[in-house]
Amino acid sequence: MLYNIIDLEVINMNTLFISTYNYLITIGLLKNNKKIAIKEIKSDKSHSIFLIPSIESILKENNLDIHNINEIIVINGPGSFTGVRLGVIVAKTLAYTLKINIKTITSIDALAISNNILKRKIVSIKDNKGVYFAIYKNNKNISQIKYLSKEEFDNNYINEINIDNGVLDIEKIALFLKDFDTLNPHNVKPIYVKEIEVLK
Amino acid sequence: MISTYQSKDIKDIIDLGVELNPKFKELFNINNLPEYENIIVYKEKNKLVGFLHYLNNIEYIEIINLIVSKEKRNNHIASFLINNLLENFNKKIILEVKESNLSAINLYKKFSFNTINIRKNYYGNESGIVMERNKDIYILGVESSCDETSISIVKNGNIDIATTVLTQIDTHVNYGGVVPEIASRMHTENFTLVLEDLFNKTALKLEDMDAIAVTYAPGLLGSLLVGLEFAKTISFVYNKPLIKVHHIAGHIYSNNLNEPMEFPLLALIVSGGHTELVLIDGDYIFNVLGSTLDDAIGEVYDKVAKVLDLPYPGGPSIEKRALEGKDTYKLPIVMNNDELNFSFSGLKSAVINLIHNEKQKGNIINKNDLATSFQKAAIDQLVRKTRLAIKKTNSKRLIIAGGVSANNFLRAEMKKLAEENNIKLSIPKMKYCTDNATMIAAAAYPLFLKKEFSNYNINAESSKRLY
Repeated sequence: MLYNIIDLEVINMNTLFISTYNYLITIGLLKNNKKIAIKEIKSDKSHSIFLIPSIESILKENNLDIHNINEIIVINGPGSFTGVRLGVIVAKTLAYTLKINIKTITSIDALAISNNILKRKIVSIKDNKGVYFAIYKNNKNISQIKYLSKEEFDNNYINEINIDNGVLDIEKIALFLKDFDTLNPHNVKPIYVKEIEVLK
Repeated sequence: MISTYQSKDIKDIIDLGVELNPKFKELFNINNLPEYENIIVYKEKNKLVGFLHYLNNIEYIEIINLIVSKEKRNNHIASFLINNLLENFNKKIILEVKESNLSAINLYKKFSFNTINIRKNYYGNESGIVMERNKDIYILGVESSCDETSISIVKNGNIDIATTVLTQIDTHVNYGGVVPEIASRMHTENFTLVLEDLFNKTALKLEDMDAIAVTYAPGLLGSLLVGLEFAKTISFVYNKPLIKVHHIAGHIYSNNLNEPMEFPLLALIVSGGHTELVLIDGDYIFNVLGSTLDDAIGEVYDKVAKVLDLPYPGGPSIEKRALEGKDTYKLPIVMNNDELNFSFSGLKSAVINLIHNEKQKGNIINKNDLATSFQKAAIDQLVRKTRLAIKKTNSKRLIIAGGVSANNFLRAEMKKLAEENNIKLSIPKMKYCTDNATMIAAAAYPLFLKKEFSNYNINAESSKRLY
């Protein structure tokens, strides 16, 4: 019967992955949660110079148009405040204007999932003054994400196994988020964790 | 009533056409129009009194006939028909009209048609005038250089179609000034909401925009970056050219929202970071005649407000107090010379010293009176230097631009100065004096015409100068 044809048709899920929380810009493309391309750009100066050009070129290299994308995954921090903001503003504006799904994941969760943590370990990200971190077991975050100065962190957690390799596995991340609900783009915002002077 | 013609209208169309042109029936095959031709008809009580016959090319519309019955002339029926065409098509329009038909030519001029060609003796002993109207240009402006998140749509560089400004002032007032990190955070949270609000105000869509304009400098770097990245994303998704605009150019071009500026003109730029007299010879052709040697006028207002313990922002606080006070404190007349530069640090120090001395004497400062005296001295310097610049350049036109142009005392003094020198003055409307995206879209228009577009690898610049 004719209507069965629709059931047979493969609907491709094209996902654009955006990470800007540190000195690297990572842009990934996935088709049905399988990685088809990834680009890492070192951007010490300003993410703004490289972010949209990187998205533009990864799409072009894979014969895709931004209008072929139907899902965005963005790392919404913590990390570099400005870096995270640029990734988030691009991601939510893409999702809002293209009317497509958007999902967020924290930088710490993304690193934990990429590293498949079964036994208790710490996952951490350093910045120039301190450390963002959380404790994981069986791939689950069993603490909150915290920020401590390098000294405080070392004093308290020196004996724990610390994952700080910064490696992102976008397939594992996409699979982890598979059953998560899509967010309203208006409500997507960065997670900062570290307090700023004026708000203390 | 305006509608598209139906087959039952054909006879009336031909009758009305023949009334004006005996050969109408033979010239135009109304009975069997090709699909790229169409007719809009105007009816009164079901009687056809006018029609507009046009040809719809891919690139442009050609008006073939625009006819109104003789007894219904001067009832704006032709205008209604043209307006209907403009509402349905944003394309270039061309037409041809007899040189003797002055009322038609004037009507077309009113609708921004320009003569582009004259066909000599096209009608035997009479020439045909070929006129053209360019498509309307819609520019989306984006502004986030400080603590206002704003997006706007401006038509043809001078018509504000819709604007949304979300100010963060209520947040920053708690900290006695704009906190850059908080400003950046709020821009990130609010831009898509501001975009949604803007497009709730108009039937236009993002697809209808011809370009995306954004403030790239100067301002708070983190705030500029959020707006720039937002604008780049929209430009990328909708495949529209990106235009980078300098914030001060925005303030200058906010005067185009009154009426298009004519050059050359003298401009007084007054804001938190700028105090300059600039001779503007044409679009983006600036010659700086004088600028502040120390503090900018807006800066000195903020600093004086602080020492008087008045709430942030300082400009409106001092202005409000000055309305209640009298000019009783003696402050120095600064820069009383033949230069066009400004200086405000001496005035600022005088106010600080005066407060200090009065306190030592055990006197209570009358804040209203000191605000009055300070404002009078500060604005007086702006007026003196502007008067001098008018004389030196023999200018016939003066514009004021920048945040401080919202100061009512300055506005009144500049009006007096313009009258005294018999020159034309333009001051932006109040709502365009504070930061807004309307002025950014307006300032982008001449750049759009010159095709000065930007790539996606541009960066924000916190302290780049315009001139």
